[in-house]
Amino acid sequence: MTEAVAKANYKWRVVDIVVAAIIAVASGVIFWGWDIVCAVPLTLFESVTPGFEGLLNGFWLFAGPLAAIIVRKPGAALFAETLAAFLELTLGNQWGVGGSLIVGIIQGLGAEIAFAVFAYKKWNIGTTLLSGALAGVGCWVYYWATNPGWNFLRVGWYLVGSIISGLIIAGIVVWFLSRAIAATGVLDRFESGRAQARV
Amino acid sequence: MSDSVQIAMRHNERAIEVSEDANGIADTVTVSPQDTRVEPVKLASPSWFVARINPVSRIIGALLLCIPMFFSLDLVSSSSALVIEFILLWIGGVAPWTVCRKTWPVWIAALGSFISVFLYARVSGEIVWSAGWIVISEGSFPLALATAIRVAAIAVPGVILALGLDPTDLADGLVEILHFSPRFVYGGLAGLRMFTLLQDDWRALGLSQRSRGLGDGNAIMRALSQAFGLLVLSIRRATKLATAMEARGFGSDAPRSQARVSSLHAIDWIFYAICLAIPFAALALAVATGNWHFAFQGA
Repeated sequence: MTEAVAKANYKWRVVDIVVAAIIAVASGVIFWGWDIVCAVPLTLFESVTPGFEGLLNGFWLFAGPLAAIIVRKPGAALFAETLAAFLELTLGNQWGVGGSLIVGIIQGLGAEIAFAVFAYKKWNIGTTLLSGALAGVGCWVYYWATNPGWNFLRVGWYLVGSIISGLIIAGIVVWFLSRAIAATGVLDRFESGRAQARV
Repeated sequence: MSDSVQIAMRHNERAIEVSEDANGIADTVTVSPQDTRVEPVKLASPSWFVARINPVSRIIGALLLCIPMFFSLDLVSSSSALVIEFILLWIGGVAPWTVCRKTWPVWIAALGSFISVFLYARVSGEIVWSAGWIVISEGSFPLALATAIRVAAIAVPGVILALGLDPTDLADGLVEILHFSPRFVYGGLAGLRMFTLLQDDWRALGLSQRSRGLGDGNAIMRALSQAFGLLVLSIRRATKLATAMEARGFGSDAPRSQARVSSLHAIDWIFYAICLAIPFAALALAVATGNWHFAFQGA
């Protein structure tokens, strides 16, 4: 895709804030649903496999990359992931403030780094994949801190699982989801929606 | 509402006769006086104490409570913190059985942590049993138990403190007390407030698909396509909402005044002191009894 290079605009408009917020809200509901759906499989994975439960993490990782790739502003991933985690927290789950809000902020920071290292100028499938993977790393950091008793094998498997899950759900799926959303024309007020029309 | 209208309403509030419909059935709608109307009050928290403190304090307090706990991993500190939390919550008006009922998913998560650490812990002492990936050593059981109780000690107060938290009150606090950017806080709040709207949208989308004869196939595919539709619809709504907010001056550089006042009181500072005292009392107890174990140190 040839990207018509417009001057990067780092200032948030109101529409950026509200759309990032609504993406976070929609994601937060999915986070919360996933909390409930995966409570039992998570326990099963934790006991039967040496850390493969990291593979289930993807559904908690995608809010940041999705919001960032749509609104394309610095801080969008952190903002959306934190807000989604906050909604997940207020709906009530098994992890409270630590496992919802703190982990959400760490995941958001991870997702943010991927776009920040390219000075918020690259918004393609590569940075989205990186963002998903780094969100997975963020999740791993928190769970290692929660379970420091794990041996290195388990810590390693958890990291690998978390990254794979982040790459797939928060990377590939998010990228194609954002393209599908752009194709509906609903993103006409965003750079991400207009780039699609030019191709 | 102007005063004259209010007075007029007070005179007419006894009963409003609704005109008869085609079947000749008269409906009488009785309207009670405004000041005697009983509306179910949405509790800000199951605890009378927590309900009185500022929502910002609840979030900060929960962080103060759990962060020191991340640095220790032993039975004494984790279980004493959990016991203190249960006692204080009881004093605060939440009985232990209520706490357990409201935090049931925490206990599933704690069980998961227990199993995972028990079977895959860092080796300490003699290896008791191993098969494939699984290595159980002498230190596995205490380590697993400490981890599971620590998970509960970190999560239980966090879950209870978050119950009934009102996002609007929290947003006011974030702006007025912590001086967060009002654009982001209230923009985020606007998104959160659309949450209930999305539930209606979900139902409407389902019905409109049905009326077109769609969605009788695979339930998962239907849910996915409906979820995508909802996402697009919500972005459309958000875009429109942003325009409406801008039209009312939101997001300009002009200084903002606050309609609702959010401030900290003595009770908030007492709460902070309690939130700091719990983990440090637990850690001090562990150090004093010689059981303290730094969490990130090798077994």
